[in-house]
Amino acid sequence: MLEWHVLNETFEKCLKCNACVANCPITANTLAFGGPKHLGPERARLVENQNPIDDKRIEYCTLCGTCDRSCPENVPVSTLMAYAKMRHQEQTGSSFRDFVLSNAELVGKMASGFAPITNLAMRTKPVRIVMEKVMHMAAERHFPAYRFKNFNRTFASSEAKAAEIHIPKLSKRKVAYFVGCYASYNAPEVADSFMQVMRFNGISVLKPKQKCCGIPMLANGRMKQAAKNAAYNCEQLLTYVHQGYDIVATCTSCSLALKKEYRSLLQSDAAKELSAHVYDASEYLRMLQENGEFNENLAPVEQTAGYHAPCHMRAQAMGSPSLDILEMIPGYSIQDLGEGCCGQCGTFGFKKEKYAVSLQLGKRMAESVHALGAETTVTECGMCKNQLDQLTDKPVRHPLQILAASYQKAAAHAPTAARI
Amino acid sequence: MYDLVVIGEGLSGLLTAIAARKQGYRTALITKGAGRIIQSSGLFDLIPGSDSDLDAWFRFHHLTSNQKIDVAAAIDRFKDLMNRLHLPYSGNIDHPVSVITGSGHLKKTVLYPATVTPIPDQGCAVIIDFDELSDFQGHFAAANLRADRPQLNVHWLSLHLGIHSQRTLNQLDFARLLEQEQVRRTCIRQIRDQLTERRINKPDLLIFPSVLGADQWQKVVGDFRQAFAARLTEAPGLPPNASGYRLFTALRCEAMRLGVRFYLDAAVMGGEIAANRLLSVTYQTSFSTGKLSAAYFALATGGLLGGGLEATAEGVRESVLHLACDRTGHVTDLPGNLYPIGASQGLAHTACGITGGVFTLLSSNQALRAMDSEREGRECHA
Repeated sequence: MLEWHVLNETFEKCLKCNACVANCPITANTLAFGGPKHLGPERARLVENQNPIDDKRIEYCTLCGTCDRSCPENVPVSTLMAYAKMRHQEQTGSSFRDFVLSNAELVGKMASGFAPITNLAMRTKPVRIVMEKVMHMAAERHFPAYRFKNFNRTFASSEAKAAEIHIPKLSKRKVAYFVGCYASYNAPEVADSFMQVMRFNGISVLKPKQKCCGIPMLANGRMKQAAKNAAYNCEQLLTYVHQGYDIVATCTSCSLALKKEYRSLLQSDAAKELSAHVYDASEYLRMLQENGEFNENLAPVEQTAGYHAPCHMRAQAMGSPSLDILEMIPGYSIQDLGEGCCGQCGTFGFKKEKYAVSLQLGKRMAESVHALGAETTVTECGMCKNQLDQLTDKPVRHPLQILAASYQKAAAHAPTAARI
Repeated sequence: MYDLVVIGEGLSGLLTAIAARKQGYRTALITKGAGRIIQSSGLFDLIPGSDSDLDAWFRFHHLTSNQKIDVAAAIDRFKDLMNRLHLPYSGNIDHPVSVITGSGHLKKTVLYPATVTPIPDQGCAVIIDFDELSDFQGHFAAANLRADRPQLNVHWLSLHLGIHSQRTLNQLDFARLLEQEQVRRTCIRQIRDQLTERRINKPDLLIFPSVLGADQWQKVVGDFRQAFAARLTEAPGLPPNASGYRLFTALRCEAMRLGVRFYLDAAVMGGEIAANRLLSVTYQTSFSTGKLSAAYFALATGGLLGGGLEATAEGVRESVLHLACDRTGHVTDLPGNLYPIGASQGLAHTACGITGGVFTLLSSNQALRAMDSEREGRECHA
């Protein structure tokens, strides 16, 4: 399965033009990283038909995919980097820290199970100092809070609450919701908003069995575990695809995994088939709007916002669907911050030895939030939010939270209109 | 969904997207990779590789003299934009100036950023090199500059920053290093020491490789200027040059902030044409295919170097939308709502594979005007 010969020759197209190096956010911030050109296509070319080389410098790659988007020759740089990461992990093994960080789902289950205690502990200085010493997790890094009432516990009540929204069926579509670890354990309010927004559009939602999408595993070189999760999710989700469901995710890293990474991880027709039925939530709503199936009964939300585009959103070649959707809300003023990577990069920013680079990376984004001076910041990614929460003083919202609020307001102000 | 879809993220694409967005077009930009500006020097030439003047440039592009106003307007517009983006450009198309390249040879250019200064005929110039930077060879540059400017007193010195890096350092890496105050101080001290040692009293001009800051060029330039009371310039050579990078990131950031929708890592594979209008373009990513519809399209895919044109045994072909073209790459059956910009207009508008930049400014402006008048015409008609 995880043979890399399928990628054969893809690196031959590399002209060493340096576009990937010039745009790489990590390269821009540390000399400790070997850079995407060198560790991607050049390394692949060098070790072709020879003993693979383990290269420690690969640890700095976050798999943000900016290299892929910069390459004019269509070299799958980040995939080559993922394989180099796997090689490194195989040679050196995972540290306990990386093992824990890459198990977002397990950590989520456990941490939310003891949520008040874990959250308190994570804010306690002595605990953090011990964690830094023993686990090499940056003591100064803020962690997202875990919720005892995680979405697995509240899905049924969320479903019931959404069912109270009386709206005629605008659409024949059915959605299987890929919740993801973040909305499950850290931000069930995002999942709640999604349920409501779908309901306001007359679409019923179910939650299929699912495991972590695998992105944190890939980023930590644990490709075999990522492939296991991919196979499980692919099988589960396809049963719904075959019943006519669309697969929708509110986390852009999850949707990228389902659309793109599973195809190279599994190299199966099933992964290909799944890929074609996966949507980012905003992308899905925009598609509804284009097809005249979108509920446009949106109440004004007088607010200004800056939008931070997550790297894994940009990787999906879909424009900026969240901006398209939010711009339909009367009175809502949102502007793209126009900056690149936030620097949190999933698990990267929690690591002690990466922490300084992570903060340095986030500086530009934080400055642009400050310069724009909007009331809120909007982003789809929970990890980008984590960095924004730490580096800026503006509240950070998922686009669907804004949209849900607008729908609710419309329904409250004109209850009859919502029940037409 | 869009009024305008721009294909390509080079200078043509970004400028057109920015200008269209400002005129209220809902604009998308689709590209398979970062535009070629990132490999460029960031300077705007008339005819690349030639010392020709404006008249020769007009003849080269078959422009009439009454289009001079259009050219001037396009340049003013560009300068306004770059002023707003805190990356001001100077220069005058009637008076090309000599600037230094990475090899030390001089070339003529007409628009250049604030990090670049024309090379004087005489005085004292010092080329600053870095031991850790292999992409720039100061002693060669000095020898070439002496040959081109015999009256100019040229020195070169090399700084040793003691930088440990896990990769080969390029000019952009140095540009980012120089943004650190500590590094600048080390440079200034070493330059001072070496100037004293060689009894160079007061240099008129310091010539650096293209490293004068990535985002914070003002700080970098300001510090050196103040320390030596001399003018500064950059010698752009092997990419990535900080001068090209600055132009690219400034334009891209502006396009995003204005609300241009980016479809990245997406290669346009063809389009649907009916009744002489391009209805949509299809694109492919590593995991999907898609379609973008719009009222207007800008073909900003570049020429042979940009990848918009391809030279084959049968001749030149347009490689993105597969439109019929003549042997110079000029599209012969252009759909009415498709506007080729810059090098996409064919080989007749490129020298050394590129337009040089000034022609791109003009053609982007012209395309937008044509789009506007067509749109107005349609609205009146309706």
